[in-house]
Amino acid sequence: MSEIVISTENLHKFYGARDQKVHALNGVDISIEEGEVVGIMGPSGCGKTTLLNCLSGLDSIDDGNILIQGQTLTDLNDDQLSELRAKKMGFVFQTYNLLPVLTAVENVELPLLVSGFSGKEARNKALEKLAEVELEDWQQHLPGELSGGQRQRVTLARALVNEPAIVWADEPTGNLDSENERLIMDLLTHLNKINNQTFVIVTHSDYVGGRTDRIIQMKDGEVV
Amino acid sequence: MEKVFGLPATGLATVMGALLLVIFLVLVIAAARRFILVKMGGRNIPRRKGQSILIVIGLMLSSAIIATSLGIGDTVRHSVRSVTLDALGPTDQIIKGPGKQYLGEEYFAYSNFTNIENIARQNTDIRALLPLIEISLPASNDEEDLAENRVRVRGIDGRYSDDFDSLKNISGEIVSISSLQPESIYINAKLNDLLKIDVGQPITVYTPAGRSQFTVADIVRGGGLAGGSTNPYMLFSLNSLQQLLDKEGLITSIFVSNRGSGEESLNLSDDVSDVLRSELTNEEAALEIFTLLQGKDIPTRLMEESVVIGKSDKNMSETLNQLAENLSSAEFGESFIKEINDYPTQLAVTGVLDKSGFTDESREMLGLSSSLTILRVDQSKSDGIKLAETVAGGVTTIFSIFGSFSIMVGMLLIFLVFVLLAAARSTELGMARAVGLKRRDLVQLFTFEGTIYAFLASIVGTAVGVALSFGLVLILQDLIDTDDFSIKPYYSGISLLIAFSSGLILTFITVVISAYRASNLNIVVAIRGLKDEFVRKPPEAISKKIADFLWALIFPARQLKRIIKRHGGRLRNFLLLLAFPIAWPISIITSLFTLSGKHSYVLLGLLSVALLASGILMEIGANFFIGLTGSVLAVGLFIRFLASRFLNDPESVNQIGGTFEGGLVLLANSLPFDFFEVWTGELSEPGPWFWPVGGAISTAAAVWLLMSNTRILIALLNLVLSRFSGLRAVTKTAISYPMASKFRTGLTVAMFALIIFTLMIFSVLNGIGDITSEQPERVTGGYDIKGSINRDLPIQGDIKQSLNMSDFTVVAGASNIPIEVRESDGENNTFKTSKLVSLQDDFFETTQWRMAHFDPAYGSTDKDIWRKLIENPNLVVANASVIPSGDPFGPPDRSFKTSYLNAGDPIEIRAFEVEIKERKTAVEPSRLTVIGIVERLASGTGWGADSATFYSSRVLATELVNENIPLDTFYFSLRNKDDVANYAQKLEKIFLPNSMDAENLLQILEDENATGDAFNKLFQGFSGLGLVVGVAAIGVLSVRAVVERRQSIGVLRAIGFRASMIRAQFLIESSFITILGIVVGIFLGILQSWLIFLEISKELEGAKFVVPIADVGVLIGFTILASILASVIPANEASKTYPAEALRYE
Repeated sequence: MSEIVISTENLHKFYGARDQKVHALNGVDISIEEGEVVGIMGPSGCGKTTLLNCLSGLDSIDDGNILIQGQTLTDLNDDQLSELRAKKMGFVFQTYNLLPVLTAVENVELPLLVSGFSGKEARNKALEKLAEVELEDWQQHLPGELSGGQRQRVTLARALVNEPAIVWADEPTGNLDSENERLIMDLLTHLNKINNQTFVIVTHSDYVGGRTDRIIQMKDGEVV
Repeated sequence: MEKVFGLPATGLATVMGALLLVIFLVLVIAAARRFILVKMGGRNIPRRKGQSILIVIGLMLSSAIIATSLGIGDTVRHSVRSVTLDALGPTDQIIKGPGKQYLGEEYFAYSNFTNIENIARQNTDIRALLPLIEISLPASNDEEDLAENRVRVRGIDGRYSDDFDSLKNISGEIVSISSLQPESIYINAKLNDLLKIDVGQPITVYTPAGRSQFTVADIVRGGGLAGGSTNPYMLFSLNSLQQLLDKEGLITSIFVSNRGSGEESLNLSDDVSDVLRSELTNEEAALEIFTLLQGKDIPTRLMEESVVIGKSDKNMSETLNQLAENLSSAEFGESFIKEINDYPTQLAVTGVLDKSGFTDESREMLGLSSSLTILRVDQSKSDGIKLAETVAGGVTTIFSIFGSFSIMVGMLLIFLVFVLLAAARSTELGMARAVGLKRRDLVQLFTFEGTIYAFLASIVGTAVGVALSFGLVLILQDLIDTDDFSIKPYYSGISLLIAFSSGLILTFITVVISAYRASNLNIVVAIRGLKDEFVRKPPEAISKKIADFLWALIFPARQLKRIIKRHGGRLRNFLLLLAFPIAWPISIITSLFTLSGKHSYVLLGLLSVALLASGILMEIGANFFIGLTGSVLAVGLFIRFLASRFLNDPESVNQIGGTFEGGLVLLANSLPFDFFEVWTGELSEPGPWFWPVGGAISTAAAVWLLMSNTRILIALLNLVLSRFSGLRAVTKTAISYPMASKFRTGLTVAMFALIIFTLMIFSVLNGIGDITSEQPERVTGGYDIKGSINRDLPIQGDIKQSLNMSDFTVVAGASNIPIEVRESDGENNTFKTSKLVSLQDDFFETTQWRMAHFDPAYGSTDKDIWRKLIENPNLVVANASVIPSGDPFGPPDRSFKTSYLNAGDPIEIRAFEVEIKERKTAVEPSRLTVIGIVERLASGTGWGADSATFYSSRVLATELVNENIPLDTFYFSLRNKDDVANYAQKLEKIFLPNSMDAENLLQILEDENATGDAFNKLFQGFSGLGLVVGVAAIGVLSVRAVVERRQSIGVLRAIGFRASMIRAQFLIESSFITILGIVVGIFLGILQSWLIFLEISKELEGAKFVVPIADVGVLIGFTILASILASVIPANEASKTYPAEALRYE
């Protein structure tokens, strides 16, 4: 049996002022093993993205516990969380969220630079990763000059370049057509097999859900 | 002030007020029609209070700078006026001797007064007359051992003084000159203060006859008849003073007071003076001159000369023109008499006669001129008031020019703010357009919002400007307050109106232009947040372009048609029709450029070459330089066009185009000022206004060049910064963001560059002036004390007999003689005024004044040249004022100028011949050889702007005026250099009977340098005000960046950026933009200073070009620190953004 890399206990998250509180996460308990590709699915507003943000340390929790590779997130301060994200996590967003002023290769190398790699090392690794997503010819292009599918592949390369243990993906194919959706998922599952990284994917898409190892279904802030 | 920026102040204020009213009415009408737009525009202001405050701070600068400039001008005017009015009281004109005497006070017979009294009786404009003697004498209080070497003395005829002006003692009681006993005098409060003499105590007065004692009868209040309250005065009865001076039956002046007071009496001054001049002129001589000048085509020659000198001396040109008209129309009257009475005019007319070869007429004219004037009439009060106006106008202009850089920066900020506001609201505005708002509604919307900012900014700016002007005046007070002149803070209502309205109008115009640009959005692009290039406008058909051009040719008809057919905004069309003198040519040129399309460079090139050619043909420097700039820009545009034909990558085309456009314009504006002179000949100086224009062009070109090469810049910076591992990720984003927003970054860089550029020039030029501190002997001649005495109280015998010569190494005397000079064989063969300084041989043996130019045939060192004057009395040395130089701020210098030399000529020259004669005589001139020109520093202490002066041996002076001229100036070198100040006092005491004023030369030089430095710092501070705007711009940019990049902040946090890294990124970004501006500013500042230095060093041997590293360091440090402080709050806000929240933001 593989090692548990992500687990939560009785996770609670509220939004809004006291008199109008929204219970975004209501006692969520999950555990995900190393190398798993897990899909989080559910209707809009059920707390999928909130769960992903909390698991990745982008958002705080109000009660409960999150363990990432045995480390309790609530024990970490803001800087330690940043370091954890820089070294052990990768992110893929629906709207790509590439920095528009940096070229494809510069976007990909940025996490490495944050982690303290030298410029040369970072550039080489970024180029390798771009080659893996078949974008080596587009390395000097700005995101604005790339198609949606190409942009998402750059995002994927950026998420994987520092070889993170966990990759968080929030609707990674939400803005893509079915052809590009298939291509991205092929790439994602292929990389998962090679590197044995854990993928947590928030999605509405049945196709994406179908390509995951397991699905966590959510409704009204609870795992159902 | 009567004039502001060369325009009548009242007229300007009226026009500004009217314009403000029109703007206000237009806005009110527009607001009443669509109040929703006012609400939409205005609601944004309280929403973002911090941003609004920053915007108002930035926008207020135009008003603040104009208000400060006008306030300082008002204060200077008020102060100079006060001195004049205080000293003259009810006196409007002063009648003086004919001006034939070249040394000492000129007396004339009392009987003249009786004649003038008869004239005055027939002229109701003259209220009162007062005959008097007015001179300067030393006086002392022997009991207290206190002395004053120069006390103004008035001997007043008591029969007329009570009617002329009332005298009051310090208790406020009226006293009268007629009640003075023969041995008693009045003194004013200032003399009482200086000599500590009270009523009833004796005072010693020194005259050519010796010492005399008088009793102080009373102490009178200063002002009017008792003289200016800032100077010491003694008042005698006329008889007493005449007896004391042995001048029975003689007077020196007649005071004339006009009817009414204040402006009324001042306005009568011209008429009264004309009448008096006419009566006090030898009419027979005037008629003879008139008849003489009517003959031999002389009026035409005068007319021709008037055209020739029109460029350099407008007033003289008008005078000659007037004379020519009088002569041509045979109109002999007051006008002719008035003009021909003027001494410089007589010289100019004689010059025209000489030039035309009418030698006999010239000689006759000289003879008649000497008997023309019976007595002179000085318009003392109106001249004093005019001086106040001129000085105040000059001060306002200087401060405005220094402030104009900040005004430009302020206007750039307005533009930047609107670019950002439009970007921030693009979606909202796109939606507004989608639901039916027209484009002109968006213009109105932005205009309403901008006007609210402009209005607030103008109120705050004017208030700040008034406060600032008083603050600067306080500093000025410390710098230039003397016993004779004190600064009195003052601000006029008219200035307040001009400052407020001009600031508001300037801001409003920029707001409208910015609003027009901001409203120019594509609805789809705005709503979807796309880039403009996604929706390109289809090119206009050539037929439409031609039609537009043809309509532009008949612009007023087009506007009328549009108004009638209701095509576009009726109000806008109507206003354009009203402004047709400006709008018509602009419309033609704009349509021509549209018609030229991609080939606009051809049109720009043609227009520029035409301007350039007109500059060369008409010798106008400004036309040449603007034409040159346009021509090279056209070349740059052509290269851009070529690049676009061969390259597909628009980024590369922009890089190549921008590099050539910016680079060539920068190059053309960075060449030495006389670079083109070989081809163009000498062109007229463009005037002080060209400095800010040239600075703005250079800055724009440099920023354009820089922003066109951001790819190279980013690569270079990444190469350097990638060495710092901790900063790599942060600097990469911090540099990439501003480099991607070229327009807004370029604007901000330009703002900083403009200000740093000005400050750098000040710093570097201040360093060049230090030469006088390092080598003071070049100014002082190596002497310690300069003593000047009253010419009416000469030192009898050899001065050395009165001194202990063991204390001195040198004592050398000199006489100053007014002369007329012309070139013997050169172009300048008209006699012009000048001064001859005839020096004792010891001076030539010891002086350390240096030659700027000399003829090597007479020696190889400065000493050789000076010594030659001892050997040969027909040799002279001139001062640097004989070399023509255009001073844009001062009045025209009518003294002698040589045609053989120009500023910047080599040191070695060939000697040239001049003819010198005593002033106002028809004697045969002496022919002399000028073998050297003393450098400008030697004009005295400081950067003296003396008129032309010649230095010669004593022999020459004696020959020239056939008299043994008494010495009036002495140069002393002390053996003990530590005791100069004490010895100066000692000399004043020894030579008190001669009224000696002894100056400690080194001390004066140091004081002048300190004052110069302080002024420099003052101007630097004033110019540096623009930095406030730059810093405000950085603040606005940072606030905007945090809002715009919220989602990116979330991504960066997600990939591992710590909060401190986000903060650092924003701070580095601000600093980076600031540093870019600083680098461009320093580069341009050093470049321009170097060009100015090249000009200065031609005349200032040994001048050093030093970049003041410490000053620059402080400047850089302060600017970066201020920018960082301005972006700390937004940077902190960015760092505190919660990552999940930031990612959710859209």
